[in-house]
Amino acid sequence: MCGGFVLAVAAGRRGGWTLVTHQVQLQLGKAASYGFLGALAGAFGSALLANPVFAWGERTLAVVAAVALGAAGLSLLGLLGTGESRIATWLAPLWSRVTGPLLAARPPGFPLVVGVAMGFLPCPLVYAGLAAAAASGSAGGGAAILAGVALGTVPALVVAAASGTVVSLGMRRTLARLAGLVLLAAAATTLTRVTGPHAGHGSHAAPPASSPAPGVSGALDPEGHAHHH
Amino acid sequence: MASAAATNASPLRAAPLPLCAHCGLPLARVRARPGEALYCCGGCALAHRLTGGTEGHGQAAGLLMAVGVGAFLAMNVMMLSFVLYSGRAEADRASGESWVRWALLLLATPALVLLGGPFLTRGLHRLHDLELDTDSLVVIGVTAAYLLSARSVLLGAGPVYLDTAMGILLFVTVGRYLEAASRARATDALASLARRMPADALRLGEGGEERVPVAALVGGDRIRVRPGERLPVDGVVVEGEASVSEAEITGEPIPRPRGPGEGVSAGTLNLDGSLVVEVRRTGAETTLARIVRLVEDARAGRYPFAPLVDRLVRLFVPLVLGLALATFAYWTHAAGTGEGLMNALAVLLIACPCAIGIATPLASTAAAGRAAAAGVFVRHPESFERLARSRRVFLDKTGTLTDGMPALVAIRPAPAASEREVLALAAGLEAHSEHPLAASVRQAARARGVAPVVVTDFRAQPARGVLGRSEGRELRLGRGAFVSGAPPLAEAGASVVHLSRDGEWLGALVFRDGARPSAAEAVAGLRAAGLAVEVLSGDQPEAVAATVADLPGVVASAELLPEEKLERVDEAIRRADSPVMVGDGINDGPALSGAAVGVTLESGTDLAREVADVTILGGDLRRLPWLVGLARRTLRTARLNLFWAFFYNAIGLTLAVQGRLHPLFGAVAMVVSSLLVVLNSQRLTRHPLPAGAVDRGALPADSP
Repeated sequence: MCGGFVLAVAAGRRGGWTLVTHQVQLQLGKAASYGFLGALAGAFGSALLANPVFAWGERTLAVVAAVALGAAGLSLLGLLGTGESRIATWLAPLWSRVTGPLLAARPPGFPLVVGVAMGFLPCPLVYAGLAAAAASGSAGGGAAILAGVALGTVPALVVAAASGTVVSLGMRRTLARLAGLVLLAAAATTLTRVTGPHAGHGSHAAPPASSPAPGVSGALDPEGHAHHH
Repeated sequence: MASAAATNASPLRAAPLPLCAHCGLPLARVRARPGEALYCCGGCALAHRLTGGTEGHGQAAGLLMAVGVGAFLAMNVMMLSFVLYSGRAEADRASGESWVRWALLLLATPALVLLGGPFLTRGLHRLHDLELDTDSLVVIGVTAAYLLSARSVLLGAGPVYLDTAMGILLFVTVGRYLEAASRARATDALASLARRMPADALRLGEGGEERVPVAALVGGDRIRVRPGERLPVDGVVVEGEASVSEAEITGEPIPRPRGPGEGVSAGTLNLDGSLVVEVRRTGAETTLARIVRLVEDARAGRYPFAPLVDRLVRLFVPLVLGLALATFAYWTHAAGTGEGLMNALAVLLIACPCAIGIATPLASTAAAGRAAAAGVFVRHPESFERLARSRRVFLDKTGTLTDGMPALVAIRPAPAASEREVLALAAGLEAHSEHPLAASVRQAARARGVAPVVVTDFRAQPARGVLGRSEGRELRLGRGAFVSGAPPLAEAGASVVHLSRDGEWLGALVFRDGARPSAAEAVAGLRAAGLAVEVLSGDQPEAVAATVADLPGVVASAELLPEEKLERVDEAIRRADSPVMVGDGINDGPALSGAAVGVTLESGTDLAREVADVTILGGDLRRLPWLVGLARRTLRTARLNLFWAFFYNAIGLTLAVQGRLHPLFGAVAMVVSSLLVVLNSQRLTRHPLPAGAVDRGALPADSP
């Protein structure tokens, strides 16, 4: 879904330097939104997991993250329904009202604001990241996870901006399928760690803010056992 | 005949209130400034400048940049603050490197200007008018948090609450915008159709056809309307035939054939033929413009307990301010300045007087919009409450229960007269009358080639008859008692009027008027809703009995004078039945005006349409039980809104005063509370339409 906005920002660019500055602003805006959401989710998770009543919360959130990753993967492979499309359709008028005037008038700094809006687009990757951020049990950890998600999408989006019409439809479909497979693998890894042999090592709530944030690659360890990596 | 304006007067129907330029809700306590649009809140001001401005994308883009950059900075302040301070006690907010605190301040200051500026500007205007509202509370709270934090950073010691200030601004800005957008959707009735009206028309003149602005048309002009074009004015077809879609005005799905001599309305769509139309009414005088005014009147109307709500809201904000000060003083004494500030902020932000203020108007306006979609136009918002409480419906017969187009089926002349003579004299009298029987007489005379006589000194006596002079002799046409010497004539199921000249009976005219196809279903629907249905007619008992024969459970009264109809209505009011009167003629005026709710049909007389609270287009009586159902649902919605608004404020303020509520949660809860009221009211815009009605909202632009 981000691709459309990236291409719209890149359209009519006057030179390579403009492309670069626009993309930097766009990604910065998106990263700020993602980081903000991650910090919120992490703070929420911290509050939730500090309560012994929600001792099951960590594992549950990790499973939710894995399911979200899997759903994203299946969607890219064309094997899952159009729930995301329905949400996108419902939100489209709001996004149009926010980004339409900016993309038409293109005032200085407009890619930053478009990027901020992009950060709130519905996206299974973000859902997975939010679940992981909450499971991290810290605002810092949550912000880092979502910032990582934002960084992870940069190469693909920059390539899209730079070569929007060069990549053929067939090639794009192939790339989408490959991405789907990668996401399924990440989901499987996460699920294994949650339910595999290591998962039974005496559960204890995640330590407060000082604990290191889990890695972004999807291999989530809800027990906070960083030394296993 | 009583003056319509006097009998319709009510202290609750005072001068209409100004309306918010975005959502259209009435503004009770806003002072207008020259050249300045009026808004009910900062959210509507923001939303309107984003979507309703006339300066194209530039203005919206500038505003979006300000809000977007402000949001970017605010989010960074919150993110950094969460990372640094999350999980720590409030006292620890004094810790941290000095450069970090300065960085937060440097990010927060432009964010405060960009996001808080619109609230601050509006808040200062309201303060100047000595009026405070929720936006004022937000400004006070955010400014206090920012100034205290800035002081701490400058002095190098003390807690910092910039994340709270930024979070409040962010949530309130976004939340208010979403709320304003939802409110505007809930109150939009015919705005989309009004925007699609053609700006010009093809006028026919001596030199041929020329395209002129619609505003240049005057009565008597002739215009050509081609297939696929929308009628720009009200008029009469003089040439051509076509199917005309009235779906967007009346909700009727079936296009109606229109040919020479038939009226057409502005806003309807010519589907398949070329029409030459003679202009009758333009601009503000068209049916469409009148309907739009009705809907706007409904929005701006006052509600039965509006004065009470206004007083409550006016007192609420200063009370909340006082409570916040008291909370600050108490908690500062008990636990320190930091705790005192946070709890006082929570009190300021959790309070939501706006939810109380919009609870009822929003429900009524949303319902009025949905009713308009079904071709039912409610002029006064309090009509919904009265309809919901109603236990009795009075129906006029001719023109209401029947389609009001009785046909002249027979003429019974006296031995000394002939049918043609009776018809010529009757047509001469009826040339001056608006009564449904008059049209039938004139049509019969035209059909038989009978020229009406010239009549002077015409006078009408409602429900009795008409009289005038021809060649110096007095003519009378009316019911038996009005015309001396009229013999008793029994015509089962028919209406009979007698004609006399200088006191000598000349003959009788016999009319038959069939019930509307929707009458039986409408009456059944009203009875199923628990309402008693009674027919009040000035017509003869046989005609009334014939009309109600297929309407089980209906009580009918015949030969009633207008004042007798009013007496029945007054009796029902004394019994607290909140009676509804449905009528269309001049003789229904007093009853329409005196009833709790007066309802007329589009075909009704000018007087009926002027005094009635509700106008039903298209003549489908099934809209009436549907409207009662909508009114009951509207009352339930308004009550739920009010209950929620009071309950939320009571609980929220209690928690805030007790120090159990973080200001950020308070800001979010405040916005969510208003949104809940808006969303609850918005459900009324999806109330199922009556059988056979077309959902105008689902129609694509300019499609039948």
